[in-house]
Amino acid sequence: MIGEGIESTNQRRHSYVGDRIEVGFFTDPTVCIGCKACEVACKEWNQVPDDGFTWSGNSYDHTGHLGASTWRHVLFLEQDRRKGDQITGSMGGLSPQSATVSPTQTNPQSDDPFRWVFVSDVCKHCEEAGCLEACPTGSIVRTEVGSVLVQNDVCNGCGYCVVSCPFGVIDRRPAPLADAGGAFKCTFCYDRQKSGLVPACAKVCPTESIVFGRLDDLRARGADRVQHLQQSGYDDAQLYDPQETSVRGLHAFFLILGEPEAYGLPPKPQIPTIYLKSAWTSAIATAVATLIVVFAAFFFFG
Amino acid sequence: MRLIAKARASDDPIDEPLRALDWWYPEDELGEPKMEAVLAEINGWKTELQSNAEGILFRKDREGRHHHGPQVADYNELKADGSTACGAWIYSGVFNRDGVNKANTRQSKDYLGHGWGFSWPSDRRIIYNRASAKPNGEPWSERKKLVWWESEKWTGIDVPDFKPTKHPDYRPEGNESGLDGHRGDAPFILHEDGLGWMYVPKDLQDGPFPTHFEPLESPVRNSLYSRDTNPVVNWFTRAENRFAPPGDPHFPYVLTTYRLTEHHTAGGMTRFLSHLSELQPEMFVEMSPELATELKINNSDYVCLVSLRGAIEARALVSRRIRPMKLNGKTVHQVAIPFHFGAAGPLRGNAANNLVAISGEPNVTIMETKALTCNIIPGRLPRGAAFLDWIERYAPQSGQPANLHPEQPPLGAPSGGKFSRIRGNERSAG
Amino acid sequence: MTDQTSPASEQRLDQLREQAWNKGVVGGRGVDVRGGPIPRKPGYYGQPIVKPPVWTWEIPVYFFVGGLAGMAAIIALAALAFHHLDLARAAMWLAVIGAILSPILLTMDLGRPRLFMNMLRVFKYKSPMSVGAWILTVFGACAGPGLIALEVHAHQIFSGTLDQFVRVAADLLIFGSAFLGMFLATYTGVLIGATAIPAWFLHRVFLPIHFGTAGLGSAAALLELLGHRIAPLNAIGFFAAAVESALWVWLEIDRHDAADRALHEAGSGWLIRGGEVFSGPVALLLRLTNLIPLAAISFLFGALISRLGWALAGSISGCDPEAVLASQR
Repeated sequence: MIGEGIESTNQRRHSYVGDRIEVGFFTDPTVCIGCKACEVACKEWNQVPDDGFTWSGNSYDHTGHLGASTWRHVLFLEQDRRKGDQITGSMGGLSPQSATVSPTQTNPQSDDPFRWVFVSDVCKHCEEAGCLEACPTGSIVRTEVGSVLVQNDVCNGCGYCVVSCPFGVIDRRPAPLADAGGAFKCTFCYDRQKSGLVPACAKVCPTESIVFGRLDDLRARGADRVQHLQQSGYDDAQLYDPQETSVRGLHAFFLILGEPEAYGLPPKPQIPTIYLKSAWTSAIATAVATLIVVFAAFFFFG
Repeated sequence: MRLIAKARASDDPIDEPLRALDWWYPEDELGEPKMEAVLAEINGWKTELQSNAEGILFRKDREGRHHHGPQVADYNELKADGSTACGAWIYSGVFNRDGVNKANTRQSKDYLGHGWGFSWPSDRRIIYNRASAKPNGEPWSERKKLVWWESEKWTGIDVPDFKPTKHPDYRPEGNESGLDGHRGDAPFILHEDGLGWMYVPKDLQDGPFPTHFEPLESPVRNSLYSRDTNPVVNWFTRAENRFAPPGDPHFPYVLTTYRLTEHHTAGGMTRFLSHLSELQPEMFVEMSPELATELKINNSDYVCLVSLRGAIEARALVSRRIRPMKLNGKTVHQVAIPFHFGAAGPLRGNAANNLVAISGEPNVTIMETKALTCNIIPGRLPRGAAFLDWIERYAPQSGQPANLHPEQPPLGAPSGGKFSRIRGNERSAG
Repeated sequence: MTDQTSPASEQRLDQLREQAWNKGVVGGRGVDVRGGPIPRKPGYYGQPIVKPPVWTWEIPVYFFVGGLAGMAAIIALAALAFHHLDLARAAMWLAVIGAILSPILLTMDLGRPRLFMNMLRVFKYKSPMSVGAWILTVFGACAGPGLIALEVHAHQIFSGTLDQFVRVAADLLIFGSAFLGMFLATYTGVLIGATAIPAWFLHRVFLPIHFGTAGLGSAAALLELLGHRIAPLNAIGFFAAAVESALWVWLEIDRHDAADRALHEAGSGWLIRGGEVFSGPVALLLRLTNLIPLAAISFLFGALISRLGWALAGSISGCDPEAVLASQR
């Protein structure tokens, strides 16, 4: 927590890997300042190459989305809503409502609501991870701390994880970037965690919008925070941690203001292995039927 | 250490500083100087070697010799006669005789934060806290008392920012020096008279009280005065440095400049770093949807911004974060540009400085870059000879006097600012 | 540039503001209503929610080649059982050529081709690609030696009990390749059906049936084009074309609005539905009118472009945030 100084879980050393304790990220946009230090720290630590200098026109977000060379991505949402009890208002009474209201009666809280929300997106490290189940080389594994890790020396770049992630996180790095051909995503700074250090993004976040720590602690903290926010006027604050879907919860979960769609998050993400049963049934039935038909064709017509 | 050894072996005067360098710090297990030893030196100590005295920290240097005496408690113990040595007087007290590194403490003992870090100087937390007591030394309020006069000295919850033994009734004779020249009821010890100032009484070009003048380029007139701009501002009148008159219809939009988190100042350091450049890759201008609709500009279109000094092109970032203003019943639009882009480096963009005028604040000559007027023309900026025609159309330069602004002094005349005689206004006769 | 001091322009500005407030866009002469100034897009600025596949042309072509090869092995087995030795040999050649081409195609598509052997590092039953890699490997391991054994037997290189032994070996190996071949042709439907791409997973029951049938019909069609004009193959061709026709109808009926619009719009829509038409009604009609070579070519063409269409649909659907959101409502 911010204010705990060097005792915060974002700063102090730990032994989660050795103790096999599940860790997580709790990301809280209500304190994020949109500084993108998390993006830069992640790239600097992991030596991730830059992935394009393209203008997007989407507010201050020129990164676009997570990918093979972007493992932390800060979203910038401009919305026509208030953020909690913030005082909003226009300059000189421009909104239609106040045009009919006398200048002494303008209510700064109701006309022209507007908010700019920043939230840092990351690999969700799902409890049931689509990429992990899909990987045919066994490159993607679950670590002692519950994170999902791509072993880049094993990955041969088949790209199946790319279409199996319900959140569109992992991708295959295209040439001519460094180390092209493999699939890359957030490693949860597993190398840092093995040495008792905290992931780079959490370490550097100046407001501790990204909180790193034990997953059970973070879930409790997230629930508290949502309650506190709702009491402070943030009536659309909710946790995005879809434990009731087949993903069964995220190790990197989020507090969001408003609906997940606005953040590009699927409201009901599913791990694609839930589709296996019906698909394999169809495949096996087709295979058997084909065998029968071929033999019948030779039997009756041969 | 190798450099010091080399300096000692030479007799070149240029090596004198290295020869005189007192690199005494004991080393830690990595071979680096112990930071606590450096902090102890910053705190200061008595130079006389008293090997048996208490309160000596790091008494032995790298060679094992006694190096210094006990730490000083506070900057008040520092003397000008060589018996004490201190690295930074304002930090004196951070690591004193009690051996506690106060800069590293994190246990607040009171609401002021004593025990959490070291607040220089002397760990006092509120400056001029003598003012929390009446002239006679009693606190103004029992509930909010901070320091007070008791038992012939100043005491309290905070470290008193006052000479501890100066009686409240002390009156100087008139020939004392230093703090002895202040009365016992004058808390503002860094001012020459010990008094608080509501205004700065001397050495400022303008004042004494703050007031309102319009920026040198403004869409409106000054509502407070008949004069729009600061009378003692430095204008630097030149043909290339024209200012638009107030409410000039050729430049109807207010322009301001601002910083982005991802870049640093003029961008010379950040535009060469890929991890930062990719976060803000292009020069842009933020404008309100109302203005964009009016000028038929879509988000991400290229637009030209032109002022009387020059023109640039930028991408339009249309956002409701920018709001039109209503001034005197008229809508005045404002736009904002970052100033981090320039012509050099892997990441290039038009420079905001092309639009800005040179001016000088009356006292410190910082130029006014945050309030300008401009015009916006959708489309890309022409290059080469076409650009000269284009700018002549939107910001006519030829056949105009150097001072378009009615309050701008003409070419060659003094402007009223103290620096106008030194720079700018060339071609002046005197 | 509007004159900012006139009251008429002030009124107009108020009108524009009100319109923007109420509707989110402003209309007017010269203003792009759809576009701006800040166009509304679904999701987060219209960014994709999932990722499109990174695969290139090798993968849909592999679906075609592998499906053909796998089903050819079944035909080979049946041909052997019903004493059509030449047909069996031809079918096994198709199977083996397919078994050689397939890993080449797949390896060409890999991001790190030199690590292709890592596909056999583990066996994960929950990953269709892992299962498929093993299916292909064992299929090739059966089909290659099976073909060799069959050819050795067919050319009577040995005689007596050794020849019998070779024949039995061929039978077993061809049985193995047929058993695996039928899954080789259908597992690819599972491969793309069990993903996060809406156009794919919404049709995960459809896809194995379609890919399997397309493989079957392709194998029969190619064998017919190679000269094996016999009734069983014709029957198989009819069956495949009939099933593809039914599948086409199913595809046209089973729509999921925005979620699978990649199947009904744009280039992918044409390729998929066109493929169904060529493999289905057109091939059926051509067979009914006894234009068998044309029917075969039509079926093969349809099967190939259908695979290309499904791959393209994956890219389009993967980049479409509305599709993902619609699939979850």
